[in-house]
Amino acid sequence: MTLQQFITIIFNGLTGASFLALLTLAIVLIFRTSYTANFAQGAIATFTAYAVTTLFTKYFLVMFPDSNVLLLISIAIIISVFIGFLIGYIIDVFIIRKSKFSNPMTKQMITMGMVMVIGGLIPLIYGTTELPVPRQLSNTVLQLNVGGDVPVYLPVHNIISIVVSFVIITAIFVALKKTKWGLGVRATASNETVASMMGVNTRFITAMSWGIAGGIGAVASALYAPTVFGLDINLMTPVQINSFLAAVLGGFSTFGGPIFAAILIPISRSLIYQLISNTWANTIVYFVIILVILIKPIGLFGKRIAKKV
Amino acid sequence: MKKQHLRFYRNFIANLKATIKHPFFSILAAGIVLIMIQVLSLSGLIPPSIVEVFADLWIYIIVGLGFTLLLGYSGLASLGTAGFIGLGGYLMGYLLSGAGLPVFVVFILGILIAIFVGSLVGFISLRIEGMYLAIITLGLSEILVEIFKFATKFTNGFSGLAIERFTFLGKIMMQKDVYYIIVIVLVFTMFAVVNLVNSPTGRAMLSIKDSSSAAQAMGISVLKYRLLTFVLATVLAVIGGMLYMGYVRAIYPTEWSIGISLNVLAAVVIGGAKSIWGVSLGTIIIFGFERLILDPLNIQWLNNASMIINGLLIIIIVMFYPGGLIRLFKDLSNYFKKWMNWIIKKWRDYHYGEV
Repeated sequence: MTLQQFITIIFNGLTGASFLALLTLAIVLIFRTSYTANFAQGAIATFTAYAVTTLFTKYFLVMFPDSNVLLLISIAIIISVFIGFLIGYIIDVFIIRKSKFSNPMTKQMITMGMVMVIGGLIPLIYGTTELPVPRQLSNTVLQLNVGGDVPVYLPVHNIISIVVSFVIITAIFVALKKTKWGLGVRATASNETVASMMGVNTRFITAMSWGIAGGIGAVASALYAPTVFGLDINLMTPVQINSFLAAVLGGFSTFGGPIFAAILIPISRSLIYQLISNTWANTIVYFVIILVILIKPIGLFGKRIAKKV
Repeated sequence: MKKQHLRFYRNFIANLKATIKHPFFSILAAGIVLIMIQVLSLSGLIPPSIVEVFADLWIYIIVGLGFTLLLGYSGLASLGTAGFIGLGGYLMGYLLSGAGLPVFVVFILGILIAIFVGSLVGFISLRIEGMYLAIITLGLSEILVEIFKFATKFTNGFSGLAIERFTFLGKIMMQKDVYYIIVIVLVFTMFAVVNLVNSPTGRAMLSIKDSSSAAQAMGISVLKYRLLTFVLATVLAVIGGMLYMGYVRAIYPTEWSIGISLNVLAAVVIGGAKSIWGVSLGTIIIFGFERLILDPLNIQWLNNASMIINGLLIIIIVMFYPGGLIRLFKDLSNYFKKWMNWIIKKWRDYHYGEV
């Protein structure tokens, strides 16, 4: 393996990890505060990806044709983050909070219903024509000479997505440790009833977590969309399936474990892709994940939770 | 009329009532109605495109009946249904056209493979529960889809697998004949599920759903019943896939994504997870609403309404009406009876004076 190959593998892996880790963080955040695996996370993210594209191509490029493209797309992404935040907040306040049957399975089914509702709303709001993704950034490529004959080509978009997701994940982790919201999240995660008895406003904490998860998902989809061909309703489904697997592999009961797994999975996939087989990489990775979970059902870093009879 | 005749007549009525109330009677009646649909279509009363939709629906009811054993009776959520249906379809396709086996052998082989895969998932379900199990079965389904995509030697990859009409009992099966087979399999599945659910096995499954620890303490083997449930659900899903392949005669790997699994789950939840009629009703709403009602109407802005309506139905039913839509009929008839009684009482009071 040459140095070029090595750098390419790691770079591709990290690129995949950047959106996977963001979405995994969003899912874990919701799981920890409201005890439900949010199947609608990918759908919300797809919705906001459509919002970015529509805002950028249909409004901003038409209204301000002379201004900086990077600035315009950043504004579009920031607006879509707010949209994602709102959707998450609304779902929690109006649906999850009201579902008084506190069985986790029923809540999970509600999020599955949300997937269908949002999937039906997207063509209704944004139209049925397939939108091209703005890829002004993914076309520029950075050239890196590391010795040897062939230089390594690194797309600028991928570098940006790695940096952005690193910054956001670090910020969320710092917020979990340092802010009042983070303390509330950790208290709610460990025991909701006790936390509310101790004066933590668990309703607000949960709603904020849903909102922040929606915002994170919006960033993830904005970073992911330019790497695929075009937008459709199932844009984020593969990422979401992977992030569920990452969350289970890392252990749902911690915040760090799923993120570690979300970085590990794409890197090992790109390693297998380059070294063993380029058609069966996904299958091998899924298979290994399932084997690991069978051997250690609580996940790599999970804590064993005693079951009450 | 002689007294003897009167007694005979009364007995006959009582027997008839008992027969009609027996669950098998309604299943058989439903089967005859379903067969009549194809017969009417042959005489030109029902367009063939509608019959194709119906055949699809009956296949999904077979799959849903397997799934309701998992969700309604054992409390296990699986999201691998789509992968298993696809597995059945591809098994049928490859073994028939690639390996050239007769259809009877294909059916037996398919069921054997389904039993193997089902017991594999069953063993997994012993170690993990709840959401984790759903996610792991989702991963298994993804592995199956990857195999459909890339094992081009068996599955013909992205361009899909197509088969010729197969022969069964020395007769080339046209689409209408496969429709009859589907209905017969559906009726038998309903018989089997009703019997199973009302047997000691069904009660054991229910007890495991409520509390596996308590069930174990009562001497019920969790291993045995979970394995059995998963094997049955997988076998029914694979049979559904084989019937689908027999009817449609073409299959593509991208069809079998998480969407189908979610739809089967939604169908079972909406209709009512503990009744075969509930599952049937839910399947017809989820899979049939768009193609039977919205497509013929052909209204532009209603294009995606079925998805929104289905999603809202799931949310509303899960939140406010956990028994499923089939409970609605029971509740309505109860209300009606109450109302009728009230009216009769009022009338009597009026007629005979207050008591």
